[in-house]
Amino acid sequence: MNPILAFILSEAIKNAPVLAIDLAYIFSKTEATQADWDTLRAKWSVPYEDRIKAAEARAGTAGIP
Amino acid sequence: MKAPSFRTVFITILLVTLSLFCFDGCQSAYKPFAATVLTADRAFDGWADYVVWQRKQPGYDAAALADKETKVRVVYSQWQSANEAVYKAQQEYAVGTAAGKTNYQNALSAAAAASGNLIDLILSLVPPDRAAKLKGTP
Repeated sequence: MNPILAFILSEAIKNAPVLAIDLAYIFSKTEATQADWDTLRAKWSVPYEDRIKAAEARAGTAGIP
Repeated sequence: MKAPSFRTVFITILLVTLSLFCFDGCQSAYKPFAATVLTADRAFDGWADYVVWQRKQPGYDAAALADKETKVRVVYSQWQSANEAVYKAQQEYAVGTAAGKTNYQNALSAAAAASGNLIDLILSLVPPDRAAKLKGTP
């Protein structure tokens, strides 16, 4: 298989279930608590460069060329 | 049958947001807001993975990638600020300030637009095959 295609497929398989689980969790709750807001806030508060470093770590652990 | 475009999906999310406003008021705004934040967040993960992958390609165009990153960095910062404004407006609304509800609704609208801008920019900057992969993310 083409390595680029394999990489794209691996990302699709990796990301879709995680987002689906996150959304299912959110919509299963009757009312958001302050802790929910704080958890959500933690996601958008990460600086750009730290997000890139996290992606580097993901690529390293996944052995992606 | 042609798959719906990402823009169509995003507009649907916005319509759901507005519907929940109409029926339940601001207290229910968390769910659609969180859904748009997480959708943009996952799209950004795709962008970050693309940047890392691109940097590892032999002979990649560093200047072109840096130019793209500059654009995304600006819009990402705007997205963060818009979401932060929602967070603060929600807290003011919760304690019942006079202008709280209006500010909260305005902040939510701005944050939805910021999420849309971030997703659109990422989809416009990555190659078509990778954009198609991101569009396929629910």
